[in-house]
Amino acid sequence: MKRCCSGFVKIDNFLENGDKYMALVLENVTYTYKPKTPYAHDALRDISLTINQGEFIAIIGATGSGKSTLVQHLNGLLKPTKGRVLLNGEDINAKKVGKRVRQKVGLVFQYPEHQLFEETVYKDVAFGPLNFGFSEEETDERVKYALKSAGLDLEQVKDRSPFDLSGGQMRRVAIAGVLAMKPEILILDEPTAGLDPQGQAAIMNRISSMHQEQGITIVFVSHSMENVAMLAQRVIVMHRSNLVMSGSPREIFAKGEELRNMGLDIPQVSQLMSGLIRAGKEVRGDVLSIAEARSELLKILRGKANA
Amino acid sequence: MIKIDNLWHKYRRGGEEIKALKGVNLSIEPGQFVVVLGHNGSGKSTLAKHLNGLLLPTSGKVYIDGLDTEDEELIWEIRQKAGMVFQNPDNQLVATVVEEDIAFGPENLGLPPETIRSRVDEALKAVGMEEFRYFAPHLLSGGQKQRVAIAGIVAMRPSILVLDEPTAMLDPQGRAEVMSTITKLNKEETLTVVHITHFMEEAINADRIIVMEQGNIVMEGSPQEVFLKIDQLRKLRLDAPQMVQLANLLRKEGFPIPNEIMSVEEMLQWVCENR
Amino acid sequence: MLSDITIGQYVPGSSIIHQLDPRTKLIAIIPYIIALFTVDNWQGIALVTIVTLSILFLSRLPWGFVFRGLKPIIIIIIITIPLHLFFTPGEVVTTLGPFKISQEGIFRAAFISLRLIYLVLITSLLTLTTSPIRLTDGLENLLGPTKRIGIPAHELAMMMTIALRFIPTFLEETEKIMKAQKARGADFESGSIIRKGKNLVPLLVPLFIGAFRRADDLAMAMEARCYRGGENRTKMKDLRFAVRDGVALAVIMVVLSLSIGIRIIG
Repeated sequence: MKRCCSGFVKIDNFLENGDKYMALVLENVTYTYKPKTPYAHDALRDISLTINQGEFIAIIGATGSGKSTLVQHLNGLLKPTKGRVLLNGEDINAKKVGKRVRQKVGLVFQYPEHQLFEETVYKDVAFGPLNFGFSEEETDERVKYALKSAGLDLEQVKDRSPFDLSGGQMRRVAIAGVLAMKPEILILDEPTAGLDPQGQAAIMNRISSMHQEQGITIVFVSHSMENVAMLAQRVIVMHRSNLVMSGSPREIFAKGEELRNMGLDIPQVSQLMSGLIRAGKEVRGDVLSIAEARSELLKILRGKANA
Repeated sequence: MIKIDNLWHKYRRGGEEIKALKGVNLSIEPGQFVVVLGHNGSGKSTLAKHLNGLLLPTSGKVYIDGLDTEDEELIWEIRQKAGMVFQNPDNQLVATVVEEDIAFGPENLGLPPETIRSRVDEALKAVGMEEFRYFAPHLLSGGQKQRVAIAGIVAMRPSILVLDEPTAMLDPQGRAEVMSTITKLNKEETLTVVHITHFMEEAINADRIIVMEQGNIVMEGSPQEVFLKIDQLRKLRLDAPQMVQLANLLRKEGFPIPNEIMSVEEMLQWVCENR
Repeated sequence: MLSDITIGQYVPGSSIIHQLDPRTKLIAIIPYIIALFTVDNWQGIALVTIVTLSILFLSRLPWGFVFRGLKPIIIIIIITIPLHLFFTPGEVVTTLGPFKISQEGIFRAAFISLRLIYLVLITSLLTLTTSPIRLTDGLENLLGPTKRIGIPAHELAMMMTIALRFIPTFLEETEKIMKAQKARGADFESGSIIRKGKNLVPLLVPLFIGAFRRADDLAMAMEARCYRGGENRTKMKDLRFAVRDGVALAVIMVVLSLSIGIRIIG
């Protein structure tokens, strides 16, 4: 290990889990913005949450509900005013942990392409691993892995300037930059922001593949209810600094009225079912796709014809 | 009002010639709400920038109210007639206070101070931002910033409002704010609106939809006409809004759902009436 | 965090100070500063104090807010006071441990501190009561005659306005980029000066590139709004001298004369 003497230690005892089940836990986390001033307000209020290995979780909530503040607590960029954040039982904000937690919990911000800075794609993606003390060989392996996982052609892009690429490609390079650290959990804050429908589908498919093929735990923040309905296993709903709902997409989107009162939209088909139920029709409220909506509607439309 | 004649736009990038627009023909009548749909690379933004002369044709012609965009003498008159709002809400606001930013356009037109003041008042009212008159732009949400940008154009009293993906960077609430603002401007102020977007839902209330792909117009018509062509849309990797797709599936099962039904409320109403 | 700095901030209002032509305020600063540095006795300080506090009162700004803007210079004042208190020769009045405090010392300490405070106060008041666009309009107008010798007054004013408009935006962006790079293990705190400098590259490059992108977008948006430089451009808030401007200038000139007078006599 070349860098051991400058303080970087590749194999650390903290946060290491071996083959055990990984879990990221928030314990009664409260985050107060501008504490001890007249402007103090709680951006997060008493949040308790467990993220288990292999989960595919979506966080939804209106702008200002605390989603971004929440995700920044998951990798220690923000420290709780009250409460703790534990990764595999260890407090990630303990001094001895330092920045290592950021290698285990990878965070991709909104419009991540705005953070690209290196001369070549390769160098930019290598930035992460090098910061955590990985050797050149290990870094090389990670860069190759990351670019492939992000859906980019290694030979085609590695020596090009990241600023020469298309917007969609730049975003993939930025995501690769985080993947290169081989985090156990990957958090993405609105990964589809600003993309057209095709671009959105491409990125979400990529993320879904990563989850299925490699078992990476995924947490993504989104405003696209259709994406959430299609891909998430669990949905967490934030409202005004509180975690108000947690459940499967079916459970959550069946509560259309409540979601709307929180300023959230639900997929059109869910809205339709919700409206039909209010009008007294007997349909399932937890429909998520157009195909399911069609089945439900056929039931009641044909029901009349048969009557 | 807007007449585009066999418009070609070519440029060089890294040694290659790129044909962004390949002979586009289009006419837009005053007062219409036209939505231009398409993926990135379809040419829709390039087309938008031809409408106020920010880009000039490689060949072909663009006429705004009869004025040729290639005529250097007329370019400022054209830009006053065809105002344009862009994608990034932050990168359009120039002043440190909302009302001063809205005044920027009229100031450029050399209008007398009292006239500028009344234009600013009108514009703030038209977009519903009166209470934010003295705010600093960085304190506003994305949707609010875009409304200020729109107000800045409205204050110049254009006859056409061109919006180049104004909602692409906004959250759903901001999108709704912007859409309701431009719909209102189209209906109440009879502004011709050319709205470029990749969100299908924003085209539901348009008078006309134009679908672009790789520099050509590939589909054109009323929302009903365009959304019904579900297979063609799918080939273009576009999806009709969920209700339209649902209605189509039900039609295939023999239910005579009218073509006009495109929103949740309309579908709800129909189902309740026909159950 | 950085928004606590009040120097440079503008607080909208309709007080008489707010309504003064920006040129009046810009011009008036000169006699004020001359007066401030001319007075050298208690009477002189009293005069300047009355003037300063009157302007503060007329501006109808919350005093606590304005004085909070003095925080940055508190340290300088805390260092200055003992320095002058203990080390000025003169008639000894009391002693504090090994240090002798003279009457001149007390006066010096008070005087120099107050001068600094008033200087900061008056500049704050200028920016607090005048929006950046008005300030740059005023400067542009005052610099107008220099156009003849080739100084691009309008362009400079425009540059200043845009820069001021984007300061908060760039601060936000800096924070975002820092967090994104920290999430990849970047370290902005530790290391030698040279190391810290190198570590800034992942912050500065994206910032600059972002700035150029913004400039491009903004230029396009300005052109779309018919911007073509300063020729034939009007202003919504026209710069027009009113009676109150004449009165304000007259008052400040009187104060200046009195200060000179007090010094000569005193």
